[in-house]
Amino acid sequence: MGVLDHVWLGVLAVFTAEPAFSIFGLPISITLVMVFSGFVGGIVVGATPGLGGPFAMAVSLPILISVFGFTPDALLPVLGFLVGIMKGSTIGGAVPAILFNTPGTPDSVLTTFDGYPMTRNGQSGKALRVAHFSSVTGDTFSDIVLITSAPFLAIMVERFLDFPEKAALIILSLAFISAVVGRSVWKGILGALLGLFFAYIGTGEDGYPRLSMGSEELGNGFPLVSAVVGVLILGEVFKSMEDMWREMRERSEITMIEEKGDNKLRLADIRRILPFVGLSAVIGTAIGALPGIGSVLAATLGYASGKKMYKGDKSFGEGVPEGVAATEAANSSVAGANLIPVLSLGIPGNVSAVFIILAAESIGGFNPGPTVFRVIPDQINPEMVIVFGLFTTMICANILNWTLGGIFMRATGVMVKVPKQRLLAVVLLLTPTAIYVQNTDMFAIYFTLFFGFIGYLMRKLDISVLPFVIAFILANRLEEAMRQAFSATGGNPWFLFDSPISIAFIAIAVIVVVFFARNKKALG
Amino acid sequence: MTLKTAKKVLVSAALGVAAVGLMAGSAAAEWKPKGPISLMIGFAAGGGTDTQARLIASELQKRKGWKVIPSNVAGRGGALMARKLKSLPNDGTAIGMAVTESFGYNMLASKNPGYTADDFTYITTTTGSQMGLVVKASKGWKTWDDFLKAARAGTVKFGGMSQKHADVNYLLEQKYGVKFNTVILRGGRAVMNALNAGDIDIGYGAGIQAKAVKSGDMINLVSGVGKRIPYSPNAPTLIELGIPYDIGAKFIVVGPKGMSADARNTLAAAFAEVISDKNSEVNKFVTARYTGPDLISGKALDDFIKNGLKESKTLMSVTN
Amino acid sequence: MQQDRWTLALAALFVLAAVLTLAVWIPNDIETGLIERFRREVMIGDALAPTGAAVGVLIAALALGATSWFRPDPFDDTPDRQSIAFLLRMAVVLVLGLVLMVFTGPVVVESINGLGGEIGTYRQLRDTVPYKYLGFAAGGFVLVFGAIRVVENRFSMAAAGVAIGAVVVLGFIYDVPFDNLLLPPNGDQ
Repeated sequence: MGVLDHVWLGVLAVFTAEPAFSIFGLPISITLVMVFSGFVGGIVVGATPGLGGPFAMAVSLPILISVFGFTPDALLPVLGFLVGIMKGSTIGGAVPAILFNTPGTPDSVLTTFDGYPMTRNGQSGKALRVAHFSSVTGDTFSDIVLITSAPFLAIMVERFLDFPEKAALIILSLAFISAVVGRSVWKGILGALLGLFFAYIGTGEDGYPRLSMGSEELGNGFPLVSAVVGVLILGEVFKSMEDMWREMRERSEITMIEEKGDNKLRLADIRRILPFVGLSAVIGTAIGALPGIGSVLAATLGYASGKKMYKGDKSFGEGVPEGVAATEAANSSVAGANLIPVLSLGIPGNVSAVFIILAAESIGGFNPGPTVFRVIPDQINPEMVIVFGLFTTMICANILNWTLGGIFMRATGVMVKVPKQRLLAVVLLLTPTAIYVQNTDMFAIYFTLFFGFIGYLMRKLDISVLPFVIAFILANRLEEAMRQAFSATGGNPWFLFDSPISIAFIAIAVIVVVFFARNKKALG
Repeated sequence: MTLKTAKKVLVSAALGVAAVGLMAGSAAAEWKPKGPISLMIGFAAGGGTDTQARLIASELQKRKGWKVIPSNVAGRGGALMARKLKSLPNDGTAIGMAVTESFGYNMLASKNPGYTADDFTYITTTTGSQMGLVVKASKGWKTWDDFLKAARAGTVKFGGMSQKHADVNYLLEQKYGVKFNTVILRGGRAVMNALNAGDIDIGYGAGIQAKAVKSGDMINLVSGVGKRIPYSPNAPTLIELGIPYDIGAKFIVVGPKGMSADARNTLAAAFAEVISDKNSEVNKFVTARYTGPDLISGKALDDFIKNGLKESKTLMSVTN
Repeated sequence: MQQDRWTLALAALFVLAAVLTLAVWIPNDIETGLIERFRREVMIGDALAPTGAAVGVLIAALALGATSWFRPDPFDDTPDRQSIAFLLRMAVVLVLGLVLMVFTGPVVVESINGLGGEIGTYRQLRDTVPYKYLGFAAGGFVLVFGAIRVVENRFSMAAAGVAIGAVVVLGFIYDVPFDNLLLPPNGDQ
């Protein structure tokens, strides 16, 4: 049996197995129904600040397993649902980012930079259409790359990265982000280092949680979601509320943002944003194929490169569609490529991919890894059938995305009519509630408010919050990689300078910092 | 009717009456939780403990009509959950799920765990791990001796999941005159990933490797539990290799200390009923991934915990 | 130049914080050192990562101070007296809202018990209507209504409507479809 036979069997497995009901005599399989429900659920969850795709996956996976059981037949419906959530939440995340300056998912933080100013200029409809078009284009591109090149690419990438190189790569990423984002390189680096430091409080290998000053609540460190959501969302809520409060005292009237002018996505718009979408899709896909580096970095790099490439009268950050396009195409094109290392090596590149692996592991009959793509002479490799079935569900989700995704986003444009100070007040309750149902601990709420205060101060003092948040996310992975590299090299303190690749990573990190420290002001 | 048959009838009738009496008695004394039961899971969502606990919770809700609310209190190998659980009411409405190591070696190895083994009522184990020392088949090592040859020729990177594995590695180093670079990784999935990526050469797997071993992609060189692993019959146990420890962990359900015998037994029986039912999802899960239902409760479980503590202390003292 | 004082003050603050962290906090609040020799294994201790981060903060803060001294780059929108006034107002709303969220349920249940109601403890009732909604409703209402009150600087019925709507909708989203999710503060009981 050749590869093409497996492709065909995979497609058949999605469309013909277990019809749930029929439309015009055409049987609709349970897998398609699951892709559809996952997609719709994903959009809603993604558009809900404080929730995200991974949360929806975590909640639904045990339920799905209970419903479908542990037979290989359960694989495609469950994986299809997860794929649906993954794709839906990616485009859903852009909606609150554009309309309310509140990222629905961490990777849409940068969407707020231009998406929200566009809303302020009465261009929310156009911003949503640009986001949707870029997102779906990036996603589709990424899936095509995944499907055509899955086995080869990831094997190449992974072969060269050992523990020391992984540590060096994280250092390089942090240095790059700190240097690029914000006005002052040193403030960016300060922010990143503070993020690292906060992540190290209450964690560590020893039984006593370091730097916790004996408090039980810090026994497992600050919850990731508290730090991220507090700094990014509540910090912004506090800052915006203060701005509105000041305006109120002066004018006692609040500015409403309504759509005005042409909000359609014209062919001319598409021509304008297409180069940015293309570049970001390539960046996002490349980042996605690297294990352990997620859509946040892809969005950052996509935005930064778009900023470099852009030549126009208004600059990035003032509400240009290219900014939205660059970010959304980059963060969406991570999703497909993220499955490259998962399917070819069994190594997840991000949280969503982790849940794909978990589903496969829990159900059985599908063991993501190099064996998946093995052609067995005269036999069907059932795992390869599942992989191509999975690809088919991704294509189905993309078709849904092209058609229904846009309708949904346009439909939610209505929400912009809500007065902002009232909406922000609701976010002030929604965010802690969402965090609470995940953590069931009042301290998670207190910590979130604490980080909200930090986020507010950082904004007041002109320190970029992004390096802080990304450093917080990567901090423990960095420390772990360092510990493992140290142990694996038998206690060599110079492990970072032991291989040409890690030396190169560190050298580039230093060069990036020095370059931007010297040239930032000149670059404007 | 011969005398013998009459005797049989009488005996069985008496047994029947006794059984009915017992059942009636137990039905009358049937313990019921006052309010919803909090089931605190000592590990992160999506892991083996989490999946089991959530499947059990929904099944208990269905069968017993109890409200069971699972929540993840993850961190420090179950220790964070244990710390929180110990001060909650001991009326059976607060229970937690972790692994036996959380109340054994890991607790002892920590300088200040914040709880002792006496702070808890041990309700039941659910299933056990099939701990193996596992390598990729592509390494070309078919047996422990093949591996030793390679280890003598150069350094090997050895992935463990806890300090306990580092201790066992030390004993192996002493016994066979080799030196490993031991790397501690967080959890079985991390070990599998590192093996697949070639970051480590050999690692400890607690059952997560089963599928890869069965498909021929990986090989269990040594069994870490008291018995040989059924699907790797050629792999000797650590004990056969002269390292007298069974390092297989079990999943365990505990409550705060001083729980009434009623509550403890009813909970243990309810868990046992759900897990041993061949049609339940949790039964299928523990059979696919672990050793199948492995239910120790009551006095036997107390002894099991005590013995585990004693063994851990010995292991720590000989490796010091 | 006025605003660049903020950058210098910020740099000075972080230099001081980093020095204190390195000299006092880290040595006294971490059990293992930079490099640990734990039973023959040489490994990285818990102190290394935070020490590295703190040393980095020290260097970055010194560099920030030096650059802003020699190449001032003032920014607008620095904190002022109005910011403090705003923060104090928000703090009142947040503290009051959270106190109500945590204590309303238990206080009501205890009062009913005190009046001879015998309905059991709040812990036992934490998943029972209406008790499970009391804290969330009271605290949630105060958070939303209070925040709108601070910004708009007046009471309005519309704000109360938004607050009630938010509480009802959020309660519905999180509590009704998901059997295993608990609204605050019921998971802490």
